[in-house]
Amino acid sequence: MTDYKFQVNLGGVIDLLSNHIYSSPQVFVRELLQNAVDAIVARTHREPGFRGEVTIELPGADAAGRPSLVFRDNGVGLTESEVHRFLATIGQTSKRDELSERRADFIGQFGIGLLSCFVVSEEIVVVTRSSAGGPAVEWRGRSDGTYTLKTLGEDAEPGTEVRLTCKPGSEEHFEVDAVRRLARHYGGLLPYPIRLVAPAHRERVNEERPPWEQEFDDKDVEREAYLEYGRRMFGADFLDYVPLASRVGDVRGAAYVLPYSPSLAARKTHRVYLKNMLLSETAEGLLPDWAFFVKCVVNAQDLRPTASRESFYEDEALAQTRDALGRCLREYLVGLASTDVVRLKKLIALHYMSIKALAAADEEFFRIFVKWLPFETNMGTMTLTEYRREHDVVRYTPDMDQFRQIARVAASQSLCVINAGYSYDAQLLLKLYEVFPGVRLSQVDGESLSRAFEYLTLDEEEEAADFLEFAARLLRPFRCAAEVRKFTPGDIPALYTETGDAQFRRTVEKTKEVTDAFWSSVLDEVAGAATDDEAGRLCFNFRNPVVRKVCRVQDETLRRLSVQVLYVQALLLGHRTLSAEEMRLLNEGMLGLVEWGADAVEGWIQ
Amino acid sequence: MSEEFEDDDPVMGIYRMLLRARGMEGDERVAVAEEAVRLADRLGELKVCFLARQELVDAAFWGGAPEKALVTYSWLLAQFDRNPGMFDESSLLWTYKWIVNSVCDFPQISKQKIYEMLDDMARRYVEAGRGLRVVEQHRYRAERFWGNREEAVRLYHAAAQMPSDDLSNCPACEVDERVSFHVYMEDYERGLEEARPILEGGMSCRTVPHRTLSRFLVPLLRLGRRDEAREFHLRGYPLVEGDKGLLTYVCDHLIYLSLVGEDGKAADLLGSHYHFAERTTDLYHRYLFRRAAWLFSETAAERGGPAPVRLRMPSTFPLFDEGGLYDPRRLAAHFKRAAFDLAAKFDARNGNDYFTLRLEETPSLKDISVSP
Repeated sequence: MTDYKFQVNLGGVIDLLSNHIYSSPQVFVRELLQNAVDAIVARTHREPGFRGEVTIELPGADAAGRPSLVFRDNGVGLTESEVHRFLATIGQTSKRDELSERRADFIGQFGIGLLSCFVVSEEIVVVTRSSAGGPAVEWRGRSDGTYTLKTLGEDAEPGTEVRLTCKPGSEEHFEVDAVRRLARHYGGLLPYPIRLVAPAHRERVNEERPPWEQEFDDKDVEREAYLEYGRRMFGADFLDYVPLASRVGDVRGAAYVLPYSPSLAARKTHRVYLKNMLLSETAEGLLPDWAFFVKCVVNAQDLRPTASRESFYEDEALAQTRDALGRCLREYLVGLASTDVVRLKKLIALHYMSIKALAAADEEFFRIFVKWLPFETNMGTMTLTEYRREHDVVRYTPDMDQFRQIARVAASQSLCVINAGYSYDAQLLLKLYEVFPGVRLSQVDGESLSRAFEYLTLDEEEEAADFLEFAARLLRPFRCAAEVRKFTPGDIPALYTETGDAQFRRTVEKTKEVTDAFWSSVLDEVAGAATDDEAGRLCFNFRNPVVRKVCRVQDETLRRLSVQVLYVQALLLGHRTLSAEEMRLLNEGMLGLVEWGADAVEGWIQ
Repeated sequence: MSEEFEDDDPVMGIYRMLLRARGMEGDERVAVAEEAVRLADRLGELKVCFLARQELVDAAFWGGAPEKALVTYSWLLAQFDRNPGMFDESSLLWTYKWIVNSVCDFPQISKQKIYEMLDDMARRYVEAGRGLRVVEQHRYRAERFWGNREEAVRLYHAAAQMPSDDLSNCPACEVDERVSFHVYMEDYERGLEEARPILEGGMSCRTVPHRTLSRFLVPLLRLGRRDEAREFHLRGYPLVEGDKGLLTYVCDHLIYLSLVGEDGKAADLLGSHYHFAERTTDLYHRYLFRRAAWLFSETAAERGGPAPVRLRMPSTFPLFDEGGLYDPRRLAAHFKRAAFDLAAKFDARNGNDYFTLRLEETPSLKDISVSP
């Protein structure tokens, strides 16, 4: 027997591992399992038909009352010279980057995996014998950096056994329930038995196979099996499931349709296994961007993990896998469109954003789904097919503000307008040219809408001329033009429209009411030099009885007050915030009218 | 929008809207945040107005509407000054970084105002007991922006020697800042070395590795490391695609695709980002996009002559064609003129011809072009 000491400060390495590489001490189970898997894979490679097996034994407390754990596999084992190599690996490992790199080879992974056990154990004993023959070797390492090495006989079965003795404070990690939970968590998909053995206790923790590895004769049984598996994986009752497969990356799995509408900004994470071992529960980049309506669990035999083993490495293989999985989802949706429209409608009600995202990128798909995708209009939500049944020209506003501004007026003129301010909507509308050849699209805003308003007759124009001139003069300081037209609904006395630029200027003016001199000067520069152009337009409705009366009023005060109030009311109708000056107009206008009315009544009484 | 009537308690209704805005992106998020501001103003509760505007600044800055972020932020600062102790100072000072970061992108704002703003920021940081590292970093960026290279380099090193504090950028952004500097100095190898914690170590944040990967696309082509450039593109493009706050980096990918002759992908990128690029009020982003689109058209013309390229452009595109077929030479002429128009605006403000000169050099990028 020989005593050795590592060249490096093992304490430092352990600290590095526990604080940086491993998020929690529990990962020692993952690491030991990974080592066992690697060993079994290597032996299967040498001896086709070989059946691997992993046993985790919790023999109970030793004489000193410390619990222990024995982890055993019948994999390829290590020869004496390989043990020296792995020791050399540990000896050289001092930086985090190097640790990640060294994982790439089997021996390196073995050594680094073992070190993680020091987080829960003062001493690690490894007994290993190579399937290539030779004597068994026992390595006994301690966290103070010393270790002993000795050669045993040649009668042991090939494989590796790791014995851990619980460090005070780590008892919870040596309990049957905790170990079972972790073994199942990381190794639940492994295709050979993991047995858990304790006094008066013996079980196999990974009995059940995932649904995509089972054969089903009955569609309903298959459905129940998939949904039940999803429920256990993610704790949710999903709407539906989609089996996933990709030849590239050798990927199998299942996607589950979320029973709620996910937020666009939420990270889309999935549960992924690599070679049957859990790699991550929060992997990203597995599906195309549009597929945010599902949550997946997949097992890949042939993708590369990132150095931190949190996800798959972004390379050509992953890109092709992503495409293949996207095709599975697309085929599922297209299939649903011909077999189960009821379920499809339920899905679209929740996930139309996702479907629209795909349709925006995939014309053929859009063609199939156009009849189901909902769009918001000023006459309620409808599909484009329903829309086209009623209207020749597809009218839309490209942003929400404009939609709000004109929704009511347009509706009263029987113009159905789509609010294309939502994600993908404008993009989809432009694709209509290809889907419905000959379709006519028209962008609508307050300007174009009011241009179609009916002009006054010559007589009417004469009737309104004085008033119009007066209103134009009054509104000029507000950079607002005035005109009189006829439009419906008649209960709207005036419609205010403005360009996006004008809205911005209004905000700037309002903000300058509170900012200091420096910031006010910055805001002036942002808004640019003031121009003489009128940015807004107030269109009085000659069909409105009040406007009609006001046009005939000769009294200067009453006229001024009326225009003020009509202007501010139109601003409010368009959901605009009032500046201090406009607020003053409103107050003055209202009070003035009340006063004027009271005076009139008084005069009439006298 | 009828939310305003759904809730009995209007404050809760506004909070709920703000939460909803959090789950959105781009214009929609800005629209909902603006609506929340409108309702809050009507309610007149200062704290609610403040909160709603904080959300609006965030939504606007990351949604490609920096002018809205700037105006809204000036309101926050004003209320902060008027009501001592009422609002959280750290988050307000943190947001200042976004504002000075985008202020150079407005050619209508004079250099003098930008310097004054940096001084205002410095004063506030000092009064709050913070160091000036962050402010110096932004002084460096400003000089770099208008091509004052010598001063930029001096300021970069000065900033690097100052201590960090709680308002400093996150570790990933700090690394990316160094990377960006070395790429600027055309020391690409050094940049790649510095970027290792991001590229290999998984260091990340809201915009890293997105920005880091994009920065190296052209440098890697210059170094003849095509496979890596391709890998960076494949990794990086999904991170920035459609992100309105990161349009400048989308432009890097458009340049990359044009140079390696992936015309189909380049055309898709151009078509799907054009509408936003021409709508954003960030004129620097728009300038970079036009420049990249120009290069794309030039390379397409060079490879295919007058053969039309297939592009899906919105109907607002001045050369709009319903069939989606465009003569690359006409495209090149259009984007070239459009890019020079904006370059002239920046040069007028900057008092030099840095933008125009840089634009004139753009076609020479084709020399590193590699056929597919």
